[in-house]
Parts: sequence; C-alpha cells; structure tokens
Amino acid sequence: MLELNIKLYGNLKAYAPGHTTQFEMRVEPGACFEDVLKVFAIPHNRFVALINGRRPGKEDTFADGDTLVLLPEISGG
Amino acid sequence: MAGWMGKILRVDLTNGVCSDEALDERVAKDYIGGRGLGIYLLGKEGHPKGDAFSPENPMIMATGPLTGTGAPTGARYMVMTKSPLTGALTCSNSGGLFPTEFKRTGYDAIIFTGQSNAPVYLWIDQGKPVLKSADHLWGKQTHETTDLLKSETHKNARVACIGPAGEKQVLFASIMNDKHRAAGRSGVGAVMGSKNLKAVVVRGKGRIPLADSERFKAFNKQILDTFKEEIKDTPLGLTVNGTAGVVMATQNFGVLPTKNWQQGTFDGWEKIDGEQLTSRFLKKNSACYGCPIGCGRITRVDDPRFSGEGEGPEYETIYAMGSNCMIDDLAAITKANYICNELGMDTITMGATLACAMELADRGYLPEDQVGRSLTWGDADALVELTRMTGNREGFGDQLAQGSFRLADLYGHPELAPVSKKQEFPGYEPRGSQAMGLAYATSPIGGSHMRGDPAYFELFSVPESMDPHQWQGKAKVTKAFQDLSAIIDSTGLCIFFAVRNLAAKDLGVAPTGILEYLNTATGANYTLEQLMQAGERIINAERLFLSKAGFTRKDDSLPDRLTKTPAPTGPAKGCICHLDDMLDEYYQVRSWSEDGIPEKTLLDRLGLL
Repeated sequence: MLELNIKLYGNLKAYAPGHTTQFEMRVEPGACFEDVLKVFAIPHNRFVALINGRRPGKEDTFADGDTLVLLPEISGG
Repeated sequence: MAGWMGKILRVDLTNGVCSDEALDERVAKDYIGGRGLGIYLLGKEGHPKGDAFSPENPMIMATGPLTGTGAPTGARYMVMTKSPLTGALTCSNSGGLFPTEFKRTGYDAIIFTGQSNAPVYLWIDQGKPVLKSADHLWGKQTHETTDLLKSETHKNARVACIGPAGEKQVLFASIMNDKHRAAGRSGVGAVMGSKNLKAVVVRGKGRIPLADSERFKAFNKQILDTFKEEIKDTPLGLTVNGTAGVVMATQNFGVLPTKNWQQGTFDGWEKIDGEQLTSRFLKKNSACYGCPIGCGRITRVDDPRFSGEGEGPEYETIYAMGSNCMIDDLAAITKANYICNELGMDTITMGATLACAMELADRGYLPEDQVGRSLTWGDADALVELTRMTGNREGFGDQLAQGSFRLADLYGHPELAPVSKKQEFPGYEPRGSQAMGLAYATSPIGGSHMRGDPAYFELFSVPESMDPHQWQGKAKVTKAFQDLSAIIDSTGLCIFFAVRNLAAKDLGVAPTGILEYLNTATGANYTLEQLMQAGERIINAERLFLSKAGFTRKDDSLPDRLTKTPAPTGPAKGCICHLDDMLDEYYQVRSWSEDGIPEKTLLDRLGLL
C-alpha cells in the first residue's frame, strides 16, 4: 500500500472524513488520480488539484508519500 | 452618442480655467474609453521624455462606455499619466461609486494640465465644473478630506482625493476614492499632488444613455442568470474570502513571494490566508457599483497594538507586507493597509520596498543608524511604524518613499529591488509561473498583474489551465490576455467578472460578452474583429509612448534572482524564469522588432502611423 498526504482546503473540507483539513490515506499501488478523487465524491469540478504542487492528469499514479492538495476555485488578486 | 456621454472636461490648473470639448465618435470607437481614451489623449498631449512632475505632464481620468450602465462590475475609471516611479506611462484604475457618479456629471473624461499655484479641488455639480480652494484640506488624510468635502459640497457627492503621501510626492502615492478604493499604482497620487490638486468631487444625476436598452437589459439578465446559476451551490471564492483567498493557491503552487522574492513558499501562510481574515476581522463584504461579487472586505481589528477599522487587506497587500517581509501577523498587515489608505499610498510598493530594506539590512548593506531602529525579517511593529513614516516622509520613511529601486541603488545593490521598469511586482513568483514573468516584463507600467493576468490560466484554470512551469507557447496566450485586459480596462468593467464571464472559454479569450454589452450600450456596431483590434491598438499606442520615452528590450526585464537563481523551495524548486526565450517568441507574436519596437506594417494596420 502507498501512503498519501491529503489536504483539502476551504469548502472542500466538507468532503473529507471528519471534515479535517489534512489527513493520511492509504491506496493500492497503481491507483490513479481519478480513482482517489472518486473517494471524496465532490459533486462539482470547481476546484484545483495538485500532486506535489503540480496539476495531475486523470491517469497519473502516485508514489509513496505524495501530497495531494485540493483547493477551492480561486481567482482574483 | 450612447454609452459615452460625448464630452471631455479640460481643466487648466495653471490658469484655473475649465472648458468642455466634444468626444470624437471615431476616437471613442477606436479607443473605447478608460485606458484606451487615456493613452489616446496622453499620446497626443503628453511628453514621453518629460518629467512626471512637470506641469506639462497631463493627468487624465477616464470612465468607460460601460461604467455606470448596470453591466455587472461596470464601475471603474482609469487614471493615465506619466509615472514618477517608472518614467514610463502609467494607468491605474479603481472602482467603488465615484466613477459612476463622475460619468453621470456628463463627462467621459477629465484632462488636467498645468499646475495650480495653490491647493485646489475640482467640484463638478451636475455638469458644472468649478475649481475651489483646498488650502484648508492640505495636509489632511483621505478619510477626513472626504468627510469635509462632502459636508461642504453635497452629502451625496463622491470624492477622489490624495492624502499626505500624494502632497509630499511619495513616488507610489495613490488616489483614493470613496475612502477605501485606490487608483493605487505608479504614483498617480504624486502627480496629482505635484499639480496642487487635492481632490475631485462629483455629483451627477444625468442619465447614461443606452443605444438599445431593451437588448442591453435582456443580455444583462441572461449574463446575471448564468452567473447566479454558477454560484447557486458554491459561492465564488472571491465573495467568501475576498482576494485574500489567493494566498492558499500561491503557497500550494510555490509562487507566494517570500523574503523579498528569494523563495516562493512561506511557512506562516496559514496565519495570513483569506480564511483567517474572514474569521478574525471581516465585518461584511463591500461591492462596487453594479458588482455581483463583492470582493471588498470591511474589517475591524481589535488587537490593541494594531486596532482600527477600514477596508482590506486584499491579496496583493498580504503578499507584499506579509510573506514578502516574513510577517505572519495579519493584524499588523491590516493596520498597515489602513494607514496606506489614510495617507494615500500603494500597498504593493510599500510592502515590497520594506522587504527590500529588510534584505539590505539583513545583508549588512543598510546600517541600523540610517533606519533609526532595528529592521529584521518578520518585524510587524517595523511594518506599521515605517509605513506611517513613509507616507509622511519622516526619517527613514523619506528614503522608503522613493520605492525599492532607488533605495537599493542608494545602498549599492539595485539587484535586490523586485522590479520591472522600477515598479514592484504583485504577488506571483515567475519562477513557478512563467507567463507571469513575461507579463511583468512587458507590462507598459512595469511590474503589474492588471495589464494581462496569466495567473488566470497558469494557476486558476480560467478558462483552461496551462502548466505554470512550461515557458513554450506562453507568449501567444499572454498577448491574448493583455489585449483582453486592454479592452476590459477601457470599457469600465472589472477583470474579476469579465475574464470569467464575458470572454470566450478558450485561451484565445475573445471578448464575446463584452462585444454584446458594448454594442447594445453604444450602438457603435463593433465586429468582434474590430473590438479585438481596439485592444491591440491600445497596447501598441502605449508601446509607442514607451518607445518615444526611450524604453527598449533592455527595459522588459526581471531581476537576475528570478531569471538566474533557481527557486530554492516548494513545487517550483530548481526552476528559473525563461524570460529571454519567451520575449523572443512574444515580440514575434506582437510583430515587434527584436528590440521590442512595433513594426511599421502593424502600426499602419492599427491606424497608429
């Protein structure tokens, strides 16, 4: 199993177990970004996902210790 | 005319004379208004090589054809003049309620020329302009000035004014309107101060004519209904946390400028993020005229060290005064923001200049006796004290008032100034956001994100995402966003709504929604091609002004620390900004020479020869 660091921010906290911002999650080797995303069942696509600070493709897989961040849709500045 | 009011007010401050001029219909269509009308007038009457503080430097305030029409976010006006900070042109815009009231006096724009021999303010009461003495207001802060002017003119009048920083010609003094909104950048307030012009006060009840008000209203309803549907379940981040919500994004992309641009991540970011601002200080949102977003923050700080009330901070202020100075005290940042608003100063350049001073001190180049106090990374008290001293040009504040480039140069290390064309950058690190580096370097006003904002496609995925670390192919998209920004800035709309909701949803960002608004408001029958060409015309008219002022490729630059030193931390670790490669591509896409000068065939096509 691989251990991932997950960080959900802003209104996305609502889709995290226990509504926490940061937690660890174990996934099967070979699991891809899309597989992990399904776990949270977010009913819209208004967020930005980053694996180790980079935008992933749907089929990108993980390495042990990777960090997956989901940010709410943000703009302006 | 419809959409446009058809009149320009000329104010000769030397002789104290106000006169009306007609707005030429052809000029209006070709340059739209706002920023476009500003560069048309500055190009015609300005002096590219002249001194920004000379009476010959005209200062133009211009609304756009959609200002005050009820088009969502159509609330803005633009200030255009030659900048004392950069020596280039500047255009700095602001929203609130002042611009709509200004337009309803019957004028699209005001050209200020000359210099008054004593302090004055301009009062336009429903189309009747008059210059009045401002002797009793000189030296006063912006909120007090605003209150006094409303009490002596009309309680419903709207005020744009300078504070002590503008009077003392702090090189990054702003013009504040409606107390809390700022035409913030490049020292437009210092130019106003040099003219002895304390304020512009307006009261207008005039109707803004629309060419086809039925079609305008139907389209407006369609756009607003679509927006309401989009935010039905999930409100816009800008509404919830203001622009301060961007801290979370830039930190996680590794592009949150930190320690005077030495790195792109800040350990204390969660203490200065939008969620903190909302939970600790937010009283309520504020919105500009006709805005469905409401990103403004009415805040109050109770912490006795930094107590106060006002508006802000927004993201740029938080980066500049926060992570960039290694300060994680949001109360102090908010307080320093209030002081900038009261004294009338740009928060970006203030924070970035202080961070530069902190690095100069840290490296032993800036002696403590010059500063008059210790100056170390993360010192929240120093932020508040030195911000106040800068606005009043007291002690070391007099040196900070010159901006980071002149400060760093004075102490022998200009390479430590985070600037392009001597203007400080907004808060996106180009080593992890390549197109942002290109946008800073090629912005006509120096370091700015508002003259084309690649953060939309590099970070926010609007309308589509592009890898922020990739430099290839960025020139074309950056040009498209710059041209779009020129159009938005000229119509009187705000970038926050228009990029997302009034442009095509691909990286060409054709201004499809803006086109319908403009045509129904003005009846000018723009084709999409004509409108996009107007954007390109405005950019090239600005570039021509810069060329005449002596600016070339060498000035489309970034400091070596962004182009030669790899980022030390975060997701962009190891990256540099590939500016030279992008510039080659960019000049080709623009039809500019290798030295950045617009080609004759292009100028001919745009009617600029």
